[in-house]
This record gives sequence, C-alpha cells and structure tokens, in this order.
Amino acid sequence: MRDGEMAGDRPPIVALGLGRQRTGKTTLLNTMVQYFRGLGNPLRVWNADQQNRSHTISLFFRDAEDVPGGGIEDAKVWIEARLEDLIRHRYDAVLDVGGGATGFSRLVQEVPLLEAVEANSVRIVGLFCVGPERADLDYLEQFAEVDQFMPASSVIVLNAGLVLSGRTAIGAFGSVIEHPVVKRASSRGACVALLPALTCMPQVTDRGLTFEEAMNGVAPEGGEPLSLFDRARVNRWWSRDVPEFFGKLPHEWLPFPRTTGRVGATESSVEGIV
Amino acid sequence: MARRNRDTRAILRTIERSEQRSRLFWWMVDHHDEIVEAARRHRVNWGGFCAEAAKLGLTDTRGRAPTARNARETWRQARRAVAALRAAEAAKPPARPGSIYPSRIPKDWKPEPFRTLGSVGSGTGAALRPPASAAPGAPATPPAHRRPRFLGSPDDPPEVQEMWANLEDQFDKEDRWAGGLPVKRRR
Repeated sequence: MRDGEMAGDRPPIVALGLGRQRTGKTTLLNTMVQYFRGLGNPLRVWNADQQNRSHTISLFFRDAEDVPGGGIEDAKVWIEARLEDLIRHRYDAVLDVGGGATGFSRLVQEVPLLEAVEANSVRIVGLFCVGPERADLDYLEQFAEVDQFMPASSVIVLNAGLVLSGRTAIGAFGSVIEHPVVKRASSRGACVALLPALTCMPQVTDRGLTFEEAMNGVAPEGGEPLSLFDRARVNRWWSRDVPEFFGKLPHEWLPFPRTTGRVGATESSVEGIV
Repeated sequence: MARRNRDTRAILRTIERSEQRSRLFWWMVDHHDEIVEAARRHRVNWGGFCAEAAKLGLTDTRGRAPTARNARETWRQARRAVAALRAAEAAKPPARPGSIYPSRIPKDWKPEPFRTLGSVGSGTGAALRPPASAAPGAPATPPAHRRPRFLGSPDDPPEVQEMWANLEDQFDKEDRWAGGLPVKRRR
C-alpha cells in the first residue's frame, strides 16, 4: 500500500480549493489537511497553484506534490495524471488549483471532468472560497453556470477572515448570500458555510507553523513564538471553531479516516454513510 | 399556537400601519403562522396565491394586484417583520413575580415544579424517573429540522432550511465574538 493509500468502503475524496485569488483557498486547504491528518487520515496534498510563491500550500507540508513547469498545459497534464493515480490507488487528496486561468479550468473546459472522475466512484468535493466582494462570486458563476462544473458535494465557503475589521460578517456577506448564483447553487444541494476568522492568521502562516505548534508557543527556526494572546486566539480557533466548522458540513463529504471515522463515531455508523 | 397568534396580533396592533406597506403585506403579517404551516406541508403556488389574493382585494404598494414575484418578496419581508417583533418581545425581561393581583390568579394554580411532579405517574418518585423513550436501546426520536429565521425561503426543502439555519448560527457566533449584532437584528 502506498503512502496515503487507504482501504475501505467509502469512496476516495478529492477536495478542490476553488475561487479567485486571495479568497483563502490555501488557508482553507492548509486547515483541512492539518485537521484531518490530525484525526489520522494521511491525505495527499497536490499543489497546482502556479501564481503563488510566497504563500503556497507546499510551504506547510513537506510531502506536498507540486506541478512541474510553469505553463497552464503543464498543470493540466499533471492534474490529469494525479487524478488517474487517485482513481487507481483509492486514497484521499486535496488539490489547490490556484486562482485565475489555471490548468484546472482548462481541463474543466476540455472534458466532462465530474462525470469522468465520479464514474470511477471518487467523490469530488468543490470548496468554493469567497470573500465579501461581489466579484468573488465570478469564479463560482463561471464554473457552475458556464462550465457546468458544480460537484454534487459543493461547499460555498464564506471566509470571515476577509471581512474588514469593524464590520459584522452578516453585514459583509449579506449581498453574497442573497445573490442568485448562491441561491441557485444551494437549491441544487450546495452547502454554504462560514469559515471563522483567525485574526492572527498571518502571524501563524508567516512563521510556517502548524496551528498546534502556534498555540503551544513553538518558535520557528530563528524566530519568535506567537505572543501570549495570539496563542490563546489560535487555541480557541483551532480547538473550538475549526471542529465546529467541519462539524456543520455533511460528514460524507469530508475525508474522515476510514478506520475510525468522526471522533466519537462508531465504525458501523461510518460505514453506513457511503 | 392559538395563544401565540393572539400574542403576535396584539404586538402587531401596536405598530402604526404605515401606508408605505401594502395591504398584502399586512394580511401576510396577520396570517403569518397559518401561511408558515401551509408552506410546511406544500410548496407555495404563488401564481394561485395571487389570484386568490386579488379576489380579496389584497394589493401591492401601488394598489395593483400582486404578481407572483411581488408576493414572494412581500412574504419574505413579512416573515422578517414578524420574526423581528417576536425576537424583541422574547428579549423583554419576564414579568415580575407578584405582578398579577392575587384575585386574578386561577384557583388551580401551583408553582411550576409541583405542577410537574403532580402530572407524571403516581407519587413523586415517578417524576424523577427518565421518560420511557430514554430507556437504553429505545429508538431515538429523529431531530426535527430547524427552520432558518431569515436566510432561505419557506419553499426550500427541509435539508436546505437546515443548512441556512446552521449558517445563521455561524454568523451569530462569529459576530458575537466580533462584538457585532446577531443575524436577527440586521438591517
């Protein structure tokens, strides 16, 4: 069995971080990988974000696999190969496709990707990251309504970390929630969820720390640990807010470990969801 | 439900019925709970609703017969108005004990704990036993779907309403920590 490969009844999951640039795709996937690896699922990390160099998911995971080359066509071919490998070896993975025109968007335009992958009993989970700007929905609109790429397991993730200080999240996201694109997506089964803000997120990610390291006061090499209050903020976010966030999403859309399932769940209840 | 309807109507009577609101709006406010109950059983046929509304002389703000789109939007606003009023009412402190004249207290009135004990089984020990459904191995009652207060629509299927209710909770929590107002007070 290869690294990250898992036996079990539920279909493999590939979670895609989708959205325009600077909407929190990498932050969400970073959080997701840390959380589910912490629960015992060695899910794989694929980085196809060719635009981002200073804040890429590969900085957080040494075993992340990066797209070789810098062209859109390179990325497209690489993603195809990764998906074929996942179908063959049945493991879970996250894919950071990056923002803007990408190899992934080219692939979606060329082939009916959803049908092709899901026909092989693989669950694609679309994580559409949006901030409070109307333009953040363009990506969702393009994928869902133009390219017809809207996985049955789709989450519209409202990133509260992008709300300007002093505004309420409900005030900031009001127009996004009521936008017809979001309404149509939710009526087709997409879930809308609010990713809670961590105000000191840059202090954690700039240090290249995991959330557990940050809240435990670990210092990066040649750097300082987080301040006492920031450690408390990370502690609350990581121990309470993040589990609540994932707890609100449909269980079967998430890469819980096959052997133990959700913390506290029994083996039989996990098997029953497939 | 009947008591709640009366309470709601009493609250609503205190509001000046502004001319800026349509007759349709006020009718929907008056019949809020009945509409919610009907919408729970069947998807609202707004076209048919408008035809009936026109017969009753329920018009929009311009005095015209409502369109389906207009009626749907008016219903959304009516739900918000009723929810806001009920939330405001619920936020009021409870009536002070002793604020009712003794002559108005019903003869069979008992303090809450005694009333509970006296109503279950025989003897006070029965009240302390867990209900039968809580016995080990008994099938759990499926949780009822929660209905969102503002997001979503009554036409949404239950699982979508549950999702919107979850999102409202998330907003409430996020904005409470940020020092903001809960969802129900927005706008």
